[in-house]
Amino acid sequence: MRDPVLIKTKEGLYCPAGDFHIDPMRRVPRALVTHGHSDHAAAGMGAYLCTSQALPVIRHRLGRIQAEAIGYGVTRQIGGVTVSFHPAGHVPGSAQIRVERAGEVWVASGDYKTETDAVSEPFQPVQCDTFITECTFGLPIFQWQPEATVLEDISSWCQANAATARASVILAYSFGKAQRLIAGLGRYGPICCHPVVDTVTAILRDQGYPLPPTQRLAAGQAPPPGALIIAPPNAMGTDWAFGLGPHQVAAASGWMTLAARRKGIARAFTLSDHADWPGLNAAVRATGAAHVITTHGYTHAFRDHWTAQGLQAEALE
Amino acid sequence: MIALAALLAQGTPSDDALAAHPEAEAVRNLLQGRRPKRLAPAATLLRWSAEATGTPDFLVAACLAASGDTCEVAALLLPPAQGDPPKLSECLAALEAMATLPENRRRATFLPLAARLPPPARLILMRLAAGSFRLTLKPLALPTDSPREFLAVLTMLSPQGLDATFALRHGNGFVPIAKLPLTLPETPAILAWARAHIRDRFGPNLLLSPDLVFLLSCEGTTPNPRRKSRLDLAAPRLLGWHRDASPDQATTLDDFTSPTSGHLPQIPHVGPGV
Repeated sequence: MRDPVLIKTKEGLYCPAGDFHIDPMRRVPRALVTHGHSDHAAAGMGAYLCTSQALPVIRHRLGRIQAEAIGYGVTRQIGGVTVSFHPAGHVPGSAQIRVERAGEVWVASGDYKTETDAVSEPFQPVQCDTFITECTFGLPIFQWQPEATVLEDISSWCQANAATARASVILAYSFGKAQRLIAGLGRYGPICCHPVVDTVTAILRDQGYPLPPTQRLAAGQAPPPGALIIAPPNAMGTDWAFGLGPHQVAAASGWMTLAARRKGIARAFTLSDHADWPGLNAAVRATGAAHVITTHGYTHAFRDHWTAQGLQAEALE
Repeated sequence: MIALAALLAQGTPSDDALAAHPEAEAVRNLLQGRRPKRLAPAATLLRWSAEATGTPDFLVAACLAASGDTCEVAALLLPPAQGDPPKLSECLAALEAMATLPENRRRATFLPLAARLPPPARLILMRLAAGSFRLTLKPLALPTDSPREFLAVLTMLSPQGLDATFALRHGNGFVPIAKLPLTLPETPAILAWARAHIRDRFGPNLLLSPDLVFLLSCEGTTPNPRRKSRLDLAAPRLLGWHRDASPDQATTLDDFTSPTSGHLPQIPHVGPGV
């Protein structure tokens, strides 16, 4: 068997033929970054390469970095390999990274979601020999309802709260999930944002993503009656929440499917920016890969699942 | 059935919410313990779901490890809801009718019924079928005595106020009486206060100076020798922060357990807060 195109090192995924890392978490000279979430884009790299759409948020989060942007689908020669970035549907600007060495194609999925939403570039399967796939929700108990259904549920909940003069606070990641909610619930009425959410939203709005106007809600500030407020998951334990007045709190996350993780929050809505079990299965099949490497999530169960389907499968330890 | 799932998603349902349920009578019967006989153990329900969906044992085991709840895995393995969702009364009648059938016929009747429900309602059906529904409704066990209001001191807090421990005075110290989420308009202020009044830490939980007094209510009590207070509260509720009370005005355990004494000293009206 030929040398692998990508290998795991303590820094992250490494391509020996191109001498670069993908989503490294420790200092390396050259990083290819799939998207701006902090478990994929870390500070301290010598140089960064990401999609044009991902760069503004990455710059906002990492400060002064040496970074270069590349369009989706544009190929670039790096050492002995050709790389290109392809939409992953996870958050705005997110990418899968295709690496080709002498006709052999590997794809590192990064995080991905197969259902489309109003802001993220829709997932595109990429034909490859080896697919390195995330499997955050790689078990058959994870099957999402359509996004429209979940947004409808959230709307009803907000309206019920407003009818009893209470604000609705939805806890969601400040980059990605928050904008999906803003874009999807815009017709509900004006949306207030925690400053952290508001800043990221403004960056993406400036980039041209279809995000309705929002109102920044500063620490201690009272929201308008019956407001819908989007805040990051840790916001309720901080001084920011001082001025909210009567309110109800809900969380929007993929993990809400599990009752064990549901306690303590008034409502939980299952809205994930990762593929569910059917989505992961469809994505892997669509690549046509004969070799599957599982990472990030239920790696062993998902590997065994593909072994049982007759593919060569391994878990990235 | 979907309305019941929505009702239970709110925690302990209020009388108003109960009355608004389209099948209030059936729900009331359920809550009062009149439940259908067990159709099959949870493990059998899970086997039915796994076989119906062709899920191999290693995946079932991985799902169980992730969820920790057999009924939940049985509910979530089935595909999204198809067809008209059955009403609660239809589900109860079907479970009753199935009880007289042999196992293979039970499965053939039960799975199509479950398939018509979305996961939260399907989970309730699984629990009813497995005879484990009472677990979700423990606070509604019939109380042995009367409703009451009392003053308790906040002694412990989880980091975001999701779990707050309230205690009654006992001797020179305090005895935990109820654990509730801190769902008050003043919660942010209380959390800010708590961060400045930490006595000790137990993992992520904070032991606080016993300074803040709250008005609580319960529908009654049931004896439980495993509790320090030796009782469980039925439907405990947090009514408000009693800013003007000092900890030595908190209700004592003795006052609380003797049904005739006036265990609520003269306290001014507790408003809804900010």
